[in-house]
Amino acid sequence: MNFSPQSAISVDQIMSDVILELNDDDHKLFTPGYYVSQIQQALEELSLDTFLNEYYSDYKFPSETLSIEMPKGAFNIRTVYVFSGGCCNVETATQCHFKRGYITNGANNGYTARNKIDALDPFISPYHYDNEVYYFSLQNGNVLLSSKCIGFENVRLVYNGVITNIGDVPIIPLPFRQAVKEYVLERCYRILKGRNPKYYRPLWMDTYQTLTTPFDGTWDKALSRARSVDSKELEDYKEYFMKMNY
Amino acid sequence: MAYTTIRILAGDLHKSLKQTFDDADISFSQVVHWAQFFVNKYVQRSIQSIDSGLYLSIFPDVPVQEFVANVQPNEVKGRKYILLPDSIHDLDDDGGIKYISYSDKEGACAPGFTGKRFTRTTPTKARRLYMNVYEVPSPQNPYFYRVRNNTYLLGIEEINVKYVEVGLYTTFDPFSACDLDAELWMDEAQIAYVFKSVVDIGRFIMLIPSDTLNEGSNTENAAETPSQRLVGLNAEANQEQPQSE
Repeated sequence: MNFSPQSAISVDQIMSDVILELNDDDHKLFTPGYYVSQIQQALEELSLDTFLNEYYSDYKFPSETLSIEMPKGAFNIRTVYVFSGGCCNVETATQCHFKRGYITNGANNGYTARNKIDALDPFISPYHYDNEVYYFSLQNGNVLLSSKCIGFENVRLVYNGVITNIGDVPIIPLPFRQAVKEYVLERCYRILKGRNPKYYRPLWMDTYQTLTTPFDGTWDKALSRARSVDSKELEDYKEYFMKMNY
Repeated sequence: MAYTTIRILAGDLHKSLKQTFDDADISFSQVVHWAQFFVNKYVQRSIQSIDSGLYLSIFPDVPVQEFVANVQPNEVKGRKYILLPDSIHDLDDDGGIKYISYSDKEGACAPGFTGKRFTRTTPTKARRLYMNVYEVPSPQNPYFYRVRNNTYLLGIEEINVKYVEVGLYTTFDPFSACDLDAELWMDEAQIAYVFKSVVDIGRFIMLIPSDTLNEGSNTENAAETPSQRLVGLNAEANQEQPQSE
């Protein structure tokens, strides 16, 4: 499923619903910032569960360090490209493949990896074209590129990230509206039941159930919506698969 | 619709008390003062139990000030604050301050209270706010805390806010108003309770002097205090009398 950013829900719309349900128009229970923080956390959880949001970022090729720090909010690298030319006139581009255990301190510093051309390991047959391919690895939030990539001007990372970076004003995708609302309510009731269990615990239980019930809960509905494929995409996949000569 | 005025209430009370204690020296202002106690008591009770605009007072242009020097106690240099324009009911969580807001749009059509609203905090609770990027005091997310009559403002240190709009649950003070014909802003159904309470306090105060009268009884010598139960002369006869069916 995809959605237009123009149909995104604002924080105020979610807060309006939530504070009405909590009877907190005067913000005597929670500060406005707390609600925004919870909305952000709901979006983080949804992003991590659904991999819905895919972003890309371009960097100048780090020809000395061969290392790029993963962008803020990124949690899953999908593809790494190196290319020449600018972002508006890409000339030569190639994909980098993942190499397990590849670690380097920069250009001309060599590297270690489980599979290396000069490895003296009787259990692993090294690639003989080890230095001929473009590859990368991930170490502690850094993307480490192989020395073969030197010569390209830019690197493009394609990754899944959280919908809104921490500190920004969150923007809520339309399919997630109910899930985000229930998530914030559940978090608020969870705190309130510590203050007044007799009154708030039943409310928290109702909200928790509405949020987490399998299949019919708002959270599961949000996940299934996010994972559903667009109709055109689905039709085309069927078309391709039907024409395969099994 | 006209509400009861303090002149009507206090005048009626004064007349009633003078009828009962005609030689008592009860001044009109004394009755007004007693009425003040109970008007505030019942108004506060109403504020806590019902949601009514009857008790709200709006002050649209309360100037924001800044202390220029530390003065012990409660005046801290460099902190922005407002002086509460009137005395307020001291409710839980500073509930006497219904709202404080400022308009962040010059000449905005919307009312002032729809602008940025200050959220209530305390000096100790405010520390946690700085731990969360979304809750840090800022012009978009301002806070206030009350210290006696000063209300400090957090989050607008870096911007120039000249005035704020304040909604308060103010107390009733007939002596500062100096207008006996001003309407008494309280639920008319509560007037009876005020009336009864003032009569009660008046009656109580009028009875106190009787304790200071010399009635001729000696209560200081414990030996003269009867040690046995005092029985009436007809007690025995009353006990023998059969109960009527």
